[in-house]
Amino acid sequence: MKSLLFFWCLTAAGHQAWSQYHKSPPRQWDRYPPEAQLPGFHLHKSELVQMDDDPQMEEVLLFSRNNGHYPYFDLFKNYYVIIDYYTKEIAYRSDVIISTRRDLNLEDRNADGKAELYRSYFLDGKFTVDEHGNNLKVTWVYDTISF
Amino acid sequence: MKRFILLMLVSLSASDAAGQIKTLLITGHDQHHWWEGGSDAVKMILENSGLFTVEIRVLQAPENDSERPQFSRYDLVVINYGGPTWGAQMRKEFEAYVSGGGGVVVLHSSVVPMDDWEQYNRMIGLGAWNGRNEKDGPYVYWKEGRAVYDYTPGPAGYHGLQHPFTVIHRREDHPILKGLPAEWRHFKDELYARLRGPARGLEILATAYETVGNDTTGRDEPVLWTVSYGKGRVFVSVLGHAGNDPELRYSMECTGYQVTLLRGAEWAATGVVTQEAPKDFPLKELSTFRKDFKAPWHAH
Repeated sequence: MKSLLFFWCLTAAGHQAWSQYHKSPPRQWDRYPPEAQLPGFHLHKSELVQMDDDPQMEEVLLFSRNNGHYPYFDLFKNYYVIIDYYTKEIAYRSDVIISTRRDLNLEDRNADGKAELYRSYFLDGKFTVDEHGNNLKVTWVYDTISF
Repeated sequence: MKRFILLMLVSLSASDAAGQIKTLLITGHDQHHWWEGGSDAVKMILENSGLFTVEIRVLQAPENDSERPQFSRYDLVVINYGGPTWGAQMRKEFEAYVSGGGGVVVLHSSVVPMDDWEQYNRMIGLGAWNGRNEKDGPYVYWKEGRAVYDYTPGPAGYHGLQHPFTVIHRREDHPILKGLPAEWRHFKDELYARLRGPARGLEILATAYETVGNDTTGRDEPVLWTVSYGKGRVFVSVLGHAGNDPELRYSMECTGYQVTLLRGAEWAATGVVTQEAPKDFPLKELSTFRKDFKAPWHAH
């Protein structure tokens, strides 16, 4: 009976010891999962911030591509991906927007300790110019992404 | 009297019966540029000066030699082309034309194609992209008052986002630049950088400081240069992007682009520049435009 008890203690401790050293499968990619990047887009900039209640930080990535050069402005297609900095899991991927800017504007304007992502873009991706590519007319949309 | 006769002979040999420079503009096959609009603008710029007659030749399948022009009929060949390497016979005839004294102007992205044609690389002096690297020659840029030949390994070709930039003349006494402001504001354009090539017989006429993008060189990059090839004269301007996204050619509307093109073309064809410095040329802090691709009434 003593031997059985000793064996049981040994296996229980061994199991706990084994559990501590369990590790996840290795990643094959570096900064972000490949599915974060849509074809034709490239990473323009990224920033590490706190966006939720979890103590782990979030990394916000801006992917961008050119969408036309005009005399006095350029257009870009942008989308944002938010990943957990440690697990590298994708928490959020935005739709693609068109803008004259490639901003990654993260601020905690409501002072709740969590940053929000502020965007400005063309309504429905629509705009007009004259025959010379001047006089951009567009309806701007301003919105916020937060957790 | 002797000088007068010599001048007459030079002008007769380089011009047609009406005293104009017969020009062939070779174009086509450039998926990154609005080559139709760009070539149309070049034709207007040259012909509106009254100095040139321009015939545009769009190459469809130049690699099989069937479209090769008779180069000897022209005083000047302008290349605004981005397609496959010309056929062997066309290459041979063009090499003979240039080395025999023919004038050539190479525009913007025409320093990209035909990287596998050794003599074309020699004519353009510096090239970009299409796999060009240290095997093609040194990077060439301007530093501390002279041209630097940098043999560091690496790929050729880079440009950041389009932007306005200042062009600085490095050979103010050259006929193409003489009398023009030594620094001028070029309107929004692609600024080519990391150019490299054989660079033999190369003379840098003007540079612009490259500072845009994540991969910027931070160097004074050549934007206008000449190459001597046999008895021929080659003028290269990498200014003048004509976009296909959308089809706009605002970079070519810049007066500085048009005037340097006109002067470079005349120099390549004849060896001299007869055009006076125009009064509408851009200044150091001021871009000026010729939106109709011709000199305004107040230019002279």
